[in-house]
Amino acid sequence: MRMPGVSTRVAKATLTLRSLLTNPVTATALSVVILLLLVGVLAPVVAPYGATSVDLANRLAPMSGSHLLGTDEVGRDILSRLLYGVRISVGVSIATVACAAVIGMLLGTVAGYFGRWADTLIMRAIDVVLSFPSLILAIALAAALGPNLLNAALAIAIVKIPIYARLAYAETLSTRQQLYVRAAKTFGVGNAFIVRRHILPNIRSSIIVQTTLDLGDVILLISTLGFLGLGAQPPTPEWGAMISTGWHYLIDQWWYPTFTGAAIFLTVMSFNLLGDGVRDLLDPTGRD
Amino acid sequence: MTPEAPVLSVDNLSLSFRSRTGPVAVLRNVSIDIQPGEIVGFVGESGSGKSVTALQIARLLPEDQVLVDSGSIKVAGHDVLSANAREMNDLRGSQIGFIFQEPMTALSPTMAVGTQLALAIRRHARCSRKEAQRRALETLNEVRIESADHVARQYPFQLSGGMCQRVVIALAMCASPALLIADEPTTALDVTIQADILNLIRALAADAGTSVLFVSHDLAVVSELCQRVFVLYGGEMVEQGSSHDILNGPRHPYTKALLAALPHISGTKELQPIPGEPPDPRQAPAGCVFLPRCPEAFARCEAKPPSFAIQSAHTAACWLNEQIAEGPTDA
Repeated sequence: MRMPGVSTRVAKATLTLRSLLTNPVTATALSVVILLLLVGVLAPVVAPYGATSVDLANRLAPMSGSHLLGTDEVGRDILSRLLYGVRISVGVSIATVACAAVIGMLLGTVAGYFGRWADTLIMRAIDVVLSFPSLILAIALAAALGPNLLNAALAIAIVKIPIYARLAYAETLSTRQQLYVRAAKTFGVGNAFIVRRHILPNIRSSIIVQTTLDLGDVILLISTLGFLGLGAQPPTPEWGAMISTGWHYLIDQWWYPTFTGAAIFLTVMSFNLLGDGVRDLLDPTGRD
Repeated sequence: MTPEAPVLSVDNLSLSFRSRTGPVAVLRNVSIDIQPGEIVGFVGESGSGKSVTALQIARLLPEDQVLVDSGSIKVAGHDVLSANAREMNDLRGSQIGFIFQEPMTALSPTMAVGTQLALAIRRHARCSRKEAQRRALETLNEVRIESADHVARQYPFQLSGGMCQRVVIALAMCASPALLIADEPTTALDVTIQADILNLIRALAADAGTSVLFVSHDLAVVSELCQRVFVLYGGEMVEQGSSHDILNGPRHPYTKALLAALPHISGTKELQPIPGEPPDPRQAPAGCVFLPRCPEAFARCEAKPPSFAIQSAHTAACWLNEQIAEGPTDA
């Protein structure tokens, strides 16, 4: 007998991808996201200059053939910095969301499955985190931890954990009542097995939808912390930090902050639209 | 032949559920015994406590809500009520198999049925993944699924109810348990498939030497399948005996009423519903549990009737049998 193996998985993935591409908006968003990921990986190849190569003779140069999006206040090529910035904004965001999702899912599943004191302890702690506005809490945490990129990512992960915990908690509560979970117990399997084989596969898809929806939000949060000086520090080519210095030049050298802002806008919107597409795909009932 | 130890012996089991207003007695002095290879029916209406008994035999009721007031349960010589969590997990599946009423929801929607079967097999048999998959196919063949190779790769939603029930039976029987508990396994199925499933359970049980506790509210199905029948009402055992005796000479008014409520295929006889409602477990009756609905009630019924033996294996807890019986047995 062949269990669903690699070939079925490939077939399934192809099918999923095809349904994603039927919606033109999602297809566009997906292409942009893929392009961004490629650019992030290939930044050293595609960027015309280094991210931190200073050229003081060419400060705040306008758009030209040699500097397509101009240069910043110390003569660094803005396009190159934006391209390198993808690694930080998108890369760090993905890592942050992944951390929050895994930790939140674990907490929520444990609370939902075992109930009692685990439920009380975990979910009340989650409620405490949720009772703060997420941006304010992220700022406070990042400031308390000290301003650098890692701490900013950590702060955002903490702020994002409750969403996943709640989601996993609710799904676990309903899944553990299912007959097949009770049936599994009649074969003498333990709790760990039930959680791994029955609960997690069932809550996986809603967690995945939430991560894609969250990516845009987290990119924005990273940029916000960067803008406030609580995230990546100069000369790191982080978009938020770039706008933070760039907005001083909005009147005379408008391209500096404008293109940086446009990069954030395009990225966040693409991730959001992709998230919507994935949600519609995995939840057919939610379709209009 | 020396008398073998019973596969299942439930002895004087009394059970309560915790509730806000105090414990509610759901089972009172229920005793069941099943000999090796026997198929035994367990009959009663909804709320009579038959599922509770069945679940408690595998200790599947939420432990924090159940109070065992008295009695013991032994499955294949193992004391179920005193087993710890690990011992209990080892008993489940290997000694006790379970079949549920709703086959479609008893299987995980996220796994192919072959995968689920292989996992169940590996739970109680040390073998490689490959070997488990091979055995899973064998087991599917045993429950008379044609093209097992194809079915093993299907997900439950791709299979019919009858197919799913076959898979569930395969799961329950894969470790050849000593006792199979079938909780209304045919209720959710078409009548045409019911007979197939019943035959399958009978054949598999005979092959594996498994005893079956067949929980049902359908006396027709039970009489077709079982050698002996236990009739439960309001958490108490009201009558027990061979299928033949119970069907042809019921001694308890409840069993009589249950038989009168059976539909006949000719349709000439009108169905006779049992008047009144099942007893409220929160108000334990002092006398006979069937008294409020009993058409033959008399003064004696205000006191709790003991179990009277009509014949050696046929007992009924009703005062009407006092004269016929040789004397009360303490069952």
